[in-house]
Amino acid sequence: MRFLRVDMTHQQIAVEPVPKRYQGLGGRGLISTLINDEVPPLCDPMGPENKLIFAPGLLGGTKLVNTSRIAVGAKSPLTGTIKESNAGGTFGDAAGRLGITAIIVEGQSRNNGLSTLKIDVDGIAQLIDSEDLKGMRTYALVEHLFSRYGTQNAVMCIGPAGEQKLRAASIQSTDTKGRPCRAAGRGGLGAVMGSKGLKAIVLDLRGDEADAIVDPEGFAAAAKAFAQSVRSHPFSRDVMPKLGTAGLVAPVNSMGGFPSYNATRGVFDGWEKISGEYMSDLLAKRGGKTGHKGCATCIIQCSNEFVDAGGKYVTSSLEYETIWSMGGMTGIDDLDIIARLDFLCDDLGVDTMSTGVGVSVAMDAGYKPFGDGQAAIEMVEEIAKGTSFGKMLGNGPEEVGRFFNHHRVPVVKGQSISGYDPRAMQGNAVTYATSPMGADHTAGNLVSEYVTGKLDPLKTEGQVDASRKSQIAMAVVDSIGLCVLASTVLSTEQGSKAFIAAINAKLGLELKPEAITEMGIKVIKAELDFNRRAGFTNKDDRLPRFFYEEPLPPHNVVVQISDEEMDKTFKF
Amino acid sequence: MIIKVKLFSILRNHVSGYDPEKGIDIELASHARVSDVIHHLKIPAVQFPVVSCDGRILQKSDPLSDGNVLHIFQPVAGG
Repeated sequence: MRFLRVDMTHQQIAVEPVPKRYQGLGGRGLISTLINDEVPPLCDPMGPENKLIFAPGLLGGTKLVNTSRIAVGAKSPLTGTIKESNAGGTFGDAAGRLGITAIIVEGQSRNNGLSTLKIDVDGIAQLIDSEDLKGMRTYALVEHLFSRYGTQNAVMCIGPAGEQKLRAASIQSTDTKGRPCRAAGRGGLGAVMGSKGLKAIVLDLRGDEADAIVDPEGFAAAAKAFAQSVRSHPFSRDVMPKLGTAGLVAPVNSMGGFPSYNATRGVFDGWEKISGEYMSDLLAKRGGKTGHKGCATCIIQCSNEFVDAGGKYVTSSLEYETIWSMGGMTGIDDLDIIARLDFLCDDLGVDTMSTGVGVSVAMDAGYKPFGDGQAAIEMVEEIAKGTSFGKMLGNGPEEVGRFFNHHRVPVVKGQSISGYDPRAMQGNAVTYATSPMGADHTAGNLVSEYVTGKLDPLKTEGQVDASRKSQIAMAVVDSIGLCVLASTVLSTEQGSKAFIAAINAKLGLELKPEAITEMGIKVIKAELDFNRRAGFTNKDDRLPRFFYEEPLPPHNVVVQISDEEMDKTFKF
Repeated sequence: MIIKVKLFSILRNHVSGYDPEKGIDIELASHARVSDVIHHLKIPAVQFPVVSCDGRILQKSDPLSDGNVLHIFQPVAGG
């Protein structure tokens, strides 16, 4: 249980025991508390005062399934708010098994120097000069790092976009096959890593110094019950292994909530050609794979390996949000083009969602026609070339909209929405507007409430309460390190009980469900406090005007949640 | 009446030789409801079928009309 403080200015590393204030915290909860305590809210996100923090979840490195997420956070250069973004792969589990509670990257390298942080099997960390890695794309970079340090490592790294400090830059994370195809994509955290002068973190996968569990027997029983819940839920049992998150394309289009052609329509003409079902059939014919295990400790196996017509690897994993942003939003109904765009974004180290939405804003403004896949590829390649257009696109959709003087830019606090239109899903409008981190589905997505008929997506009643509840729950999930796709079982009695029992066994506590809710509220309060001191007010918790003024077909509705209702979301 | 049904995820396995482009046409008695379609296709409750029509999620007791196009899928959550 320790912090690694990495001082990039003086190229020094300090190891310290976790102060009492932060014990019992992990992932997003730890990051948000630390940032609120230590980062000046008005600082330049890409200056030396900002801190970039990597933290496994509270149960990262344990035997609880699907808890290998690695949370990354800082003051975001994209939103200006506090930001946590988490990634799958193997890094979070390995960090937990090394007993690392957080890696806190501080200061800024001098003279634009570039380093790699190497952490060995004993947890000994060192900074290594990496000038020779400048400009490398992530796939080549990881291959290089593995040849130098061995394949028994997990890597988190940036590509050219992060080095250029572009505000939609991601931090890429290696999967179980050592490919940098998992991403902490949101909030431009790759730009913060680039501004620190940190190209990569290489972490040994073989660590065996995980923090003690207070009640190991109780934990084992809870972990077993939780795994049973995951295995028996129709979403994680049937849909995810077969289709992955792409399985959402059919339901969301069927509900008229799939933002298409830059959020001017709620059903995409060619959605069946980019659906999870279509992709699953295509990959079966080509020798690709669905049901792939991308992350350590995962029993859902929602990942896929997309291959071309010749059976050659293109990308992994082609996910719903990328299919939406690079497909529905741009009008491209060709999975091969979308997969190529996904690979490019991973390789350059840029968020697929912000980038796809940026491309769609440019198309909507008349720069290129919707559906022009080749044009989309050329636009994204501009990011690697470092051209003016590439920098503009890599800085996110708001920058693209400003350049083209285009009004229809689907962002909140500078960050693009996700693949659920806030007009067809009014509760997601609340989440996009009020999340302390800008628009994002992972903050509190209500699609499952709508699909199961618990809530009418087109009515205003109940949306604020549902969003609040979901946002609080997600703050807990992201603090524990649990995958959002496994968190669906928290809606079941067995899953919820087992989850709480696991937390209690780990910490030696007897927390009731209300205390778990309180844990989530505390995290959000820290985030809101930081944002308030950074200058944000409730006036920033609004969607762009077009969502209130331009009806979305086929339901022909606008966002109807009033400002007063929005402001009730976090009146704790 | 004739109802067109499009099936998704593993629910496609309930119809032998299912063609995802065409879907299937089902003939039902007049006054049929959503539950009759589920019954007709022999989709077990454990698979939690969700039915939508014209962009709306239907309840099992909702009535159907001739020519309805139904999409049947399983519960999903955000990803």
